[in-house]
Amino acid sequence: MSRTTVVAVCMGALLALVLRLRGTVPAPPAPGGWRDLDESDLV
Amino acid sequence: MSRRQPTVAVVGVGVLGGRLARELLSGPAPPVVTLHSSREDRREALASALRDARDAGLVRIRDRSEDVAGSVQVVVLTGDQESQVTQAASHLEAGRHVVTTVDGHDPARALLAMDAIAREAGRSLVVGSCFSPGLSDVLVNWAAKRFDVVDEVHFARHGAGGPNCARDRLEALRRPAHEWRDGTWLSNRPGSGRELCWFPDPVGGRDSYLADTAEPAIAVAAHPELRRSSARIVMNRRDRLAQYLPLLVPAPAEGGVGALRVEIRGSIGSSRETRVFGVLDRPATAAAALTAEVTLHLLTGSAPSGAIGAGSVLDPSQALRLCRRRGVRVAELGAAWSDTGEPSRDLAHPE
Repeated sequence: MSRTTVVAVCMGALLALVLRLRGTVPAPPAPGGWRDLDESDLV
Repeated sequence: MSRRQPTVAVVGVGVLGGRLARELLSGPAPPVVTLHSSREDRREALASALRDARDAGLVRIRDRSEDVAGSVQVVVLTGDQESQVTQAASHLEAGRHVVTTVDGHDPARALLAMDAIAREAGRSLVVGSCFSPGLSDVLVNWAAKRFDVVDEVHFARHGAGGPNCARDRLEALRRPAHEWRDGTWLSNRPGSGRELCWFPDPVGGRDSYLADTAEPAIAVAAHPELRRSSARIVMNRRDRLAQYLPLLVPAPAEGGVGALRVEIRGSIGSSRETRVFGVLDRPATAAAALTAEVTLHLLTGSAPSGAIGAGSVLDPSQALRLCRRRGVRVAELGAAWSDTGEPSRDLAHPE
């Protein structure tokens, strides 16, 4: 395996890790929150 | 015995079709279900999983190339979207009700354009009986009764039912997105229209982008008075980077938890209101629950004829209650906004 390939694979892995971490930033909670609707609501 | 029983054919038995078969067979008076699959391994798996129902004469498993039997009253199409459009017309002409599971804008509009054919045949053509579209239409029709005038409906969804659904989702994000605005279809650049949408917990807030999906077309057909309608799909940063690449990692056999939300704006009396409703479930599971109820209602012969969304087949409140009994969770975002942008009242604790 050439050095270029190794560097490319490492860069790809690093990018994937960063995107993974960035993709898991939690969003703020929903304003007002969710309320489950039961059968009496669904009329 | 089976000749007297209502008969349903499911053409294309992937994740949704398999779950639909189980939902149809789970009721007190199940119809005879014929499953048409092109894959031999899938046919064998279905034969094994549904052995008891097969032994009872309730399930028949066929190759997809075999014609749908003449005794079939309702056909559910779950294959690729283009083939659903071509097959729908021939089944209508054969006198069958047709339930489609398309989720793209163009296939949905092509099916809605078959309204005259369906009316002439006196049959129902259900356009997009899935998670979204499908349950989203039911929510819109149910919520619209709470408004005096509805003029905007905006959809968003997260997740995919299975591999085919994941592929369609990706395609919808790559095409220019159609948005209904003041009587015209506008075309938006793929990947545009980013908006933070809150879905029922635990999905929570997600960045969503305009997508070329069927929900607005079906909503406009059901509610011609709408001034604006759009649909969004959740994408994270990784999805955006890989948006134009093929699916490098195949989608799982069944996707994880999905969610949809419907935002409805309109007037109640002199007040302008916005209300947001959502559904949380595995998309294929919820879609199968809805499609089973739609199919069973079509078998009663009391559904309206023509090309209609899933929300117009049976009373929307009844549809939601029936889906809820099948495990689908329906929720409402706890605050409504007035036209000032402030919460107008606490819907969780109404006065």
